Amino acid sequence: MKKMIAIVLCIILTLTMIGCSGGAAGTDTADADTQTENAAGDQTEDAAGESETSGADESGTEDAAADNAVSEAVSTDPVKLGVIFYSKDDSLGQLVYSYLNYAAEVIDNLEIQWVFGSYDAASQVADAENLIAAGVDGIMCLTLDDLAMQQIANLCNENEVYFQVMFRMPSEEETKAVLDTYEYYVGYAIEDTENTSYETVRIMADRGIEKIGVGGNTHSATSTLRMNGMEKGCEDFNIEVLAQFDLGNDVSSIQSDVQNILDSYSDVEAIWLMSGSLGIADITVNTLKAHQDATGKTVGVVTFDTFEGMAAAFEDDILWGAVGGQAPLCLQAFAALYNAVDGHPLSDEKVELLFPFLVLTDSEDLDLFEQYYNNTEVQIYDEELIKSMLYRYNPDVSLDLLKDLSASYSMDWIKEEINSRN
Amino acid sequence: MKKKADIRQFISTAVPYIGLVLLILISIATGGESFLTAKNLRNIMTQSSILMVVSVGTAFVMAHGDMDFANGGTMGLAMVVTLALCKGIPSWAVFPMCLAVGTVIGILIGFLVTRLRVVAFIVGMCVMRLSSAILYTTTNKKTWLAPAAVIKLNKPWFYMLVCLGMVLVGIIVFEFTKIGQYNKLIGVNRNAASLSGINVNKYLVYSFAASGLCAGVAAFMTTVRTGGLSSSTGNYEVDTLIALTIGGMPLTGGSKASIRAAVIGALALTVLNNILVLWGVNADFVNVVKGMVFLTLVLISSRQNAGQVTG
Repeated sequence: MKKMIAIVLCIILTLTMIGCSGGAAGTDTADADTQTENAAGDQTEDAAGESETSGADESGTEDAAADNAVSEAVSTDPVKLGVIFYSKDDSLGQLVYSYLNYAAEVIDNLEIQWVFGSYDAASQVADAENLIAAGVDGIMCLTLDDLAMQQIANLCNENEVYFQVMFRMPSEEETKAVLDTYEYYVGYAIEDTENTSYETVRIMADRGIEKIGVGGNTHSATSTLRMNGMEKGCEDFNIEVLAQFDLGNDVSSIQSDVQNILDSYSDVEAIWLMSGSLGIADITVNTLKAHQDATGKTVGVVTFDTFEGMAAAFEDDILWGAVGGQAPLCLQAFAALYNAVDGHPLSDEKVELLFPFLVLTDSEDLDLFEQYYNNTEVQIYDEELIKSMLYRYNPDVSLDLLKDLSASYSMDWIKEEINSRN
Repeated sequence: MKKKADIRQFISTAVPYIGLVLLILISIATGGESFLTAKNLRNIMTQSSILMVVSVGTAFVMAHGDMDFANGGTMGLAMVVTLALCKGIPSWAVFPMCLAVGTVIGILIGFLVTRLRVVAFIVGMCVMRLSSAILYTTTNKKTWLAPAAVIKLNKPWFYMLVCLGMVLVGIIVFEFTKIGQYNKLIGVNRNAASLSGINVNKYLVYSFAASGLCAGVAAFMTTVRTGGLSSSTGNYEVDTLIALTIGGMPLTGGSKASIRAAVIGALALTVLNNILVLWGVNADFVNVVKGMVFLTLVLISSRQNAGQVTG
């Protein structure tokens, strides 16, 4: 019996090997060229309805002509996009998951397939391979590094699947030059990291701070940008970095790292954190609060990322600044990708989108942030706004429109935007 | 009575095979055309090949009952050293260089375990940390690209060829040489092996060297696949453990240890990951499905090990 099973398995494996050693790659590529086929039905009607400015019915023939014109230009084929993201468990992941799923709900021909949990370049490449096999038309990815970016772009190009990078950008000119040669690479969308980092140092400078401790590292392109912004800020505002500790994968040492700085440098006035996720900011705030209670001296903290205990930390005047709010960037990246898949790319060049962070400096900012942003029930970009970014619904859409939307993004804009819907 | 024991023995041997066959059949039935395309089968073979090669090496260490948590770190270090030197060596030498570095690290680990009596698990964790720190330091300013001739190997046939070669060599060494047989014997009873005249330390070092060599091969394959050195290279510690467990490798090592566990486990894990994406399973349920499959297989595996002890 064992021999029989062994024989059956050998046959299966052999067949698999034979299957695998078949023709060249790209023989079963997705039919991306058919995306601009004409079609009829509800979707075209919806599209025409959205793009028309008046509801007048008197000129029936004109309407019919307009309908035909739109139906010629607008795709009604289903669009299937794959999203590779590290997780949907943290604040950013939850919001990105919520925003893109909402987009899939309101756009009638859109399907989104998620893949989570890959933390190395080879795994992300495998995820992209699996998504392409599953028949996606485009892939959005928070790539872990330039290698993953380059390999996935190459893979997508070979398979005629569009590829959009989000929350990351090529960190080296060579990578960018290679990516720019790929027809199916759409572009990248990234937060305005270095400038925001610089501004966080200004928050401390405005309080007259001169000596700080820093928690950070340069393990990734993003963290390097954050550190660069901080270093420039310190130089410009004459702030001295007394000591630095590594924010690695292990957060259990954060408490002792911060405590060591407090014990060793009695003149330290603030802690700057490159990242506050995974409990880093909470632990730091708790340590500084204990220090405040014990000595009566306040050492403040400015941090990237938002966290649970922000309200109390602002109240105790330990938290001086927190940075977050960048999740809607995913919708801009999505718009760039969707339009490209739909046959109407936003630009002949590669799309490069810069999205601002929100910087919170007091309880008032936090209240607005919690009410409007940090809430998966609230869609900052509603159906109308999302559709306005897509050629399918708004033939006048342009890259400048997306850039204008990014430029206007702020807490006040969010408040105004959401209140205007009620 | 003997018949019952035979049946139990048969079931325990057959479970991983049955699991893999069932998984493949379910995937064929539910994945439809997407699963059985040549491209997707190539994906599965390519994706499983690196894991399979690392798992083959890890099987040597697990055969004598140790946990090998150094494989990912060894891969990372092999890549760093090789790519650091690759400007001074011809492209063809990159592969043997990876092998050599991996093997040397494996031998060093073996000496730490056997001569300095450091627990293999702890050594593995140290290598993992060391590798991680070196990778971060070396890649934070500049991406290290592999030579163009190496990147050109990024074709499915390359992964299949290397994987097939490593599995065949692994089977031969594991089943038909003293290195595999003595390590299994050490896993059954270290004292008995020692008393019967086996130089236990020597064969333990051989097993770590084999693991290091396989990690070196896997490092080269990863270099080809990713096109260079990444700070996240070599996260294979948990995946190899899962793959070997799914494949039926007893966590305590011993006579039931086999290379087939690496092959079956790596294939099963890759097929599972692949079919979950092809199904388009809601992201909320992917980890639930993975967790349930893994738990079921571990339960079966632990029952079979319990049977082995009492039987």
